[in-house]
Amino acid sequence: MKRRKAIQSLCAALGYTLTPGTVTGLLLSCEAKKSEPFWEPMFFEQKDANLVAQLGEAFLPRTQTPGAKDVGAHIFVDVFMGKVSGSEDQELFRKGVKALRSKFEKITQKPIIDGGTMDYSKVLHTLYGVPKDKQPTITQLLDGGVPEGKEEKENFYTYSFLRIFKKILMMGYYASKEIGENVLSYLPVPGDYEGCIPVESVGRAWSIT
Amino acid sequence: MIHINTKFRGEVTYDAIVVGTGVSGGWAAKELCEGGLRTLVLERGRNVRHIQDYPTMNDDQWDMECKGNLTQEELKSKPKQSRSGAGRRKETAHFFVNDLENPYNEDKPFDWIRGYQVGGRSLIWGRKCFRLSDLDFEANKRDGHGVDWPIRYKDIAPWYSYVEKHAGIAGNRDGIPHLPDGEFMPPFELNCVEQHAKERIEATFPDRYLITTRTANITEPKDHRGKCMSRHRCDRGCPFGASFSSQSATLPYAEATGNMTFRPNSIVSQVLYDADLKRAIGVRVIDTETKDQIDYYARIIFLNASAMASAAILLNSRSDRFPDGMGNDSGELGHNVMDHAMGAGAGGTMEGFEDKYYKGRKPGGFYVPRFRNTNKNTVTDKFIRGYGYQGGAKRSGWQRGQNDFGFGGDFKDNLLEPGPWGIGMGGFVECLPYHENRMYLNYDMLDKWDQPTITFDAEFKENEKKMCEDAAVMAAEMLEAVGAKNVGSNCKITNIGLGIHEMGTARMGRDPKTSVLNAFNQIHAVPNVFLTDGACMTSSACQNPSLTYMALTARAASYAIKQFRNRIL
Repeated sequence: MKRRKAIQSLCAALGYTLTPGTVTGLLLSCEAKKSEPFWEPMFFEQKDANLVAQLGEAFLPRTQTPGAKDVGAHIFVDVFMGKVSGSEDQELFRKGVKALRSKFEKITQKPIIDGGTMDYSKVLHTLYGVPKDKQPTITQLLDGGVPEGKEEKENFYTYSFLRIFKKILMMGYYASKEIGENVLSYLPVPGDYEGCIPVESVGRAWSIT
Repeated sequence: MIHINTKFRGEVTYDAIVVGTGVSGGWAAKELCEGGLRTLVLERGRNVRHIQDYPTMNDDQWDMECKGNLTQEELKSKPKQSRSGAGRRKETAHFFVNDLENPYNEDKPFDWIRGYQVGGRSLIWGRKCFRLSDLDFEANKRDGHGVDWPIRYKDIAPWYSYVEKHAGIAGNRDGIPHLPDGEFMPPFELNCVEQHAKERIEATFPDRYLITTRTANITEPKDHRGKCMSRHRCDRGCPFGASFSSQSATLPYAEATGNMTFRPNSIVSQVLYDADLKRAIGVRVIDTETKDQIDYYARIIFLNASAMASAAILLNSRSDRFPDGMGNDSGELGHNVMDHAMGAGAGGTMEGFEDKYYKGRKPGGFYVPRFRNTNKNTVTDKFIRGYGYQGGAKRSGWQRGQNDFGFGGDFKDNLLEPGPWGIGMGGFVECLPYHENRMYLNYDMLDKWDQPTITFDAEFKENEKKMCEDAAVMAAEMLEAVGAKNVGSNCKITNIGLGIHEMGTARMGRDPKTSVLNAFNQIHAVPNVFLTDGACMTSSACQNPSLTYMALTARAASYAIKQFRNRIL
């Protein structure tokens, strides 16, 4: 928003009239130069900004509907962790990011700095794409508290991180303005309540529940 | 420093004073003003104007930075209010008290969830309105717990009708003897799964019913109030005035008479007593903004500060005649604390309705009236009294994917579609009046106004625990009968207080030796003080109690107005 204002005042100084389209154009042309739009996390370290964005997109990638990055869901994870989460979750998260960085390099054989959405997707497939009958083992690991052993610890923190990350990311995504107003069925003032209607008459799920 | 009121007494003398502006205080103000009494209405909290002061009424989740979650910073002032769901949501947090400024003490855990503002908890209540019946009014006499109610259903029935017609209750006439029908506006219909559940439960269990809930949301326009728009954002303040609150439904009527003097930011510390007249003569107020102490005088005083606060005011109103608090000849003042025990219930999923959905967010689901110990066919020897359930059925949203291992494009897009149906219900369990369940004043721990704080020493006991266990089992049994899958039941009894139905601290009764109030809610020994909030309840029944406070208030006010006109008071 600050940048938009800055551009507007710049244009005002040059005597241009801005339409919303030209503002977007200016913003995009600026952002296109980087692989990822720059954003300054409040909770995460700057070096993890890319990880948070790419992992978010790997969880909820763009299809015919927007992806996590499109609606800023990854930024919400950062705000939520910084402002809403308690110190225990924050600590778990910090250790989790570290563990995930290590997992990333083992799985992709790449330095984390080069990681793109596809690499994180690969990481998720390896870590989260476990068959249904193996899933309870992971849940048990997480519910059992911090285990002994270096590898067990790394697994514990990685999965703890992924579990919390996904929960918050989904809130950031599905409860975003774009998804809530334009993708899901949005009806802020319904009027009369109707208790039993064909699902086709609504389409996608209601955004306000 | 104590500021002394220097105003001429005539300037601060009224016909009546009402302390509190919540559900019952709003009603007292309306009735007394409409009855022609010049009435001073006092509220300890800030003013909240209808609509203008509902800052979140139209906010969607995405309009709030943390999507409705309170930040750690915001939670710092809500260590106790956050024990209740709505007390830890951004949409409603401003209608819950700051615990740091309004402390209380717990000998035993007690969740005291409060709203200190004009309108009180009428802005944030659940709005479920059920009449009590003689099954309830005769209960204490029948099984010997507590004391007998001094009234019966026939005494209050016309007043239920009176308040229902004005408040506007959406509901269906179901013809259930122990949950009497009222004066209803058209009900919110059951959705497909709820209707199915109703049919199955009523076919399987001869004494059980599932009805659409009865709720104080108008479904037809009335005076300045618009009908419910099915937003279900009632507890943020309803811009249509469809949801019952003091702001929408009682205070405007009081104001329209021209008889109301309205004073927010006014803590009542005590009721003033004149030993010669043997009457209360007024109240002492602390202005929360100036800290001035001001005495106001009136011939009639209505205490509607909430069950615990009204009792606290009386306990703090000490005199030679009443060394243990005004009206406390019986020693029952502050005792017999009751609430509804919650935490027992069941939930499951429903298949076969995937092609069905609903439109709108109705302000309540269904209600399963009490079916234990209601007649000779339903007697159980496991416990006395009974419980009812509130419940509902809905299709799950995107949250269903939060705890599994899913990810990726298909996962994301599938969650945009309506999910499986779920159905659940939770019990509201009657609590017996136990003398030892009490609140008392702590003069060692003063609040920022130098007023004593309240200490709670109360708990649910064996009978409530047994009922909770039964309520969990029966809820699961009914959901199985409905055909629900993955049925799970839960019985984790809540702390007393969390039902937010505090009652009983100044009970009505027939005998001044064992009760505080008489059949018209007057203090036995101080007949010009009326107390018509939850404190007056002689037993708790299992129904949501606010409608009964409304009816008792209107009834007591009508009586007070007659006594005033006849110069008896």
